[in-house]
Amino acid sequence: MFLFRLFNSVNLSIRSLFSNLMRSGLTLLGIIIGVSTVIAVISIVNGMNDYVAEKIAVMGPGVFFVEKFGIVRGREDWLKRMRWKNLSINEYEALSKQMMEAEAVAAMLSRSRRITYKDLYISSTSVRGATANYLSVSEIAVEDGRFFTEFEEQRRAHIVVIGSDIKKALFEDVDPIDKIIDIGGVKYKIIGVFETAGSVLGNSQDNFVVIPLKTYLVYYSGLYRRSSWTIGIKIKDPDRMFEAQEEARSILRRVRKIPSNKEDDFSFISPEAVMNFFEEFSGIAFIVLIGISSISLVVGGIVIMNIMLVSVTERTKEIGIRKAIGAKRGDILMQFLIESVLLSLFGGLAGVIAGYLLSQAVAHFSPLPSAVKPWTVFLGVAVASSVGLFFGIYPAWKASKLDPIIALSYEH
Amino acid sequence: MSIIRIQGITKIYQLGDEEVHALRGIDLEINQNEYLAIMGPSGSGKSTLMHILGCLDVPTSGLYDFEGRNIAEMDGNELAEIRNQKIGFVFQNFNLLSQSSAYENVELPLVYAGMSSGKRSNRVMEVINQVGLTDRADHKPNQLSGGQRQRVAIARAMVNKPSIILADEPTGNLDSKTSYEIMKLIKDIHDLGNTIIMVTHEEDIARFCHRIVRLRDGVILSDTKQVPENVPV
Repeated sequence: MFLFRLFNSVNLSIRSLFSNLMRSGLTLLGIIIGVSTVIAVISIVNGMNDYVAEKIAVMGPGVFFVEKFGIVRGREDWLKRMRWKNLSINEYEALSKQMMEAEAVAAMLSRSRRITYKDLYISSTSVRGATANYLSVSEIAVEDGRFFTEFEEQRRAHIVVIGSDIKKALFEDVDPIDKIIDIGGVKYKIIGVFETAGSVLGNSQDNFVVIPLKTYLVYYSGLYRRSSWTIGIKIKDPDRMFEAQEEARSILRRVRKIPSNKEDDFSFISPEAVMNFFEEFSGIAFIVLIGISSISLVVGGIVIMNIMLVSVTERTKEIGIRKAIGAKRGDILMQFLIESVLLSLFGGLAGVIAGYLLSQAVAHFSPLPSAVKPWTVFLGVAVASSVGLFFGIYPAWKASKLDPIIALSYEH
Repeated sequence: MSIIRIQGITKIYQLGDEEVHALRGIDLEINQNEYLAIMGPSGSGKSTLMHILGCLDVPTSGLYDFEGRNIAEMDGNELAEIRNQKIGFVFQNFNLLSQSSAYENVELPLVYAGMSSGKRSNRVMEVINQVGLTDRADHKPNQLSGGQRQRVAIARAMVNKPSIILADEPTGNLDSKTSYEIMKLIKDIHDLGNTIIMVTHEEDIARFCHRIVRLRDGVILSDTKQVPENVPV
């Protein structure tokens, strides 16, 4: 009987909502905006999480990097790290000789330089000097040709492996292998081309070249004192990441002569650390944006309450009639409550659709990715109906409390 | 057999600082299948008495016994149930739901009674047929004439097979020809064994009743039985 009454009330409510379509639409604007923001924000944050996770996978399992700066959390942190001593060949040699957990220890340095081939050029490309085992700490593979060898690195060969952007820009219809390019005034022979890595948040990951580290130190040495080395470590057992980092930590502290009461003056970057950082960052973005959308949900709820109060007043006579023929307080309460829940439910659905379109538009027109998860649809609808339920209580209670005699004699 | 027994009923309203004594001690007994008119000028308390009889309001003091139950002690939900099951209302201005069809209006008391939709439709069509509106069942009130609207209201009043039908100036908004048609319908319903209480100030309408109770200043002035005239249709 209760379900049956519920069905009846739903039926009555839908009829009354559709008889006032324009007003219902305007009433729902707040809810629609609120819900669509929630959906869009969640989708974009989700999309970025997926995206970062996917990009981090490129780092490969069981690899971590030692850097001076690492993940900088704000200005204070940056100023502190500025004063740290640069990482240099000393740290690299200590780690590659002493670290038991390491399978390979690679070092790299980088600078931006202009690259020229005949009359074509790229004004700024990342030039990386790397050890010959570079590929063991990077997931990117050489698609064409080959990487350089230990022997070539030792004899400071003028050879280069180029990223796919360089191939695209300078060698459109030509095979780049064995061609000579100019990197910041020095000539190199191309021996390989990397596969395409894609882009992260709109920044291409393929605009780089790799040359032997020793060659790099010769030609860009005026600057190397001021730049800190990045050391990539591939560990033997990916499950022993913690132990490996602890081992590296103690080697580095010894080399850098850090007293036991001082904290580390270097950083580790691992896929986990990047992911943690990103999740922390997106968590904050999430909270801020959810805060903003809650405001529009509350405003939307108040508008619904207002319109329901108007509706109760307009339908005072109807309420009187219903009470005279036997509607109980609960029947009237239920009717108006269902009406406001239904009203906001429609708003919620419209908001879900708008939010979906919004996140798709953002994904299309900006580098931000987006992933609409099915559960966010339920979330949007649930949030909207809760708002309707909560803000519908007072008007419905007011309607149910009307004195039938006064309500019956009400004229508007 | 008595359906309604009222003893020493008073009703006092608070109107600002002033107390309004709408009813000052009413005794009344109404039996099964009576056809009673309550008459009096405005301010006589007939509307108040009507509201109390219809369980829309409770008296300030006194006893109201409805089929052996004391109405004065009931709460809102119990009163709503009595109104739904035992009383059928017919109002001067029809009081139909304007968005709903004749059928839906007549159906509503059964909805609140919790009857299933299959059972409802039989009963609704039965009473709509009884008031002669079978072919108008899906019309909205604004597509019906005044007389037809009042027929819908009468059908709605009868649909739950109530113990009494309370009619408040049922012909007040109708022309005299239509008024007589409605009075004929009410008489027919009375002839089927229903108890009818009608509030009116028109002598022309009261002459079709069996009994006339006249009120003035919140007390009963006279309570007389009469031989009803035939409705001239």
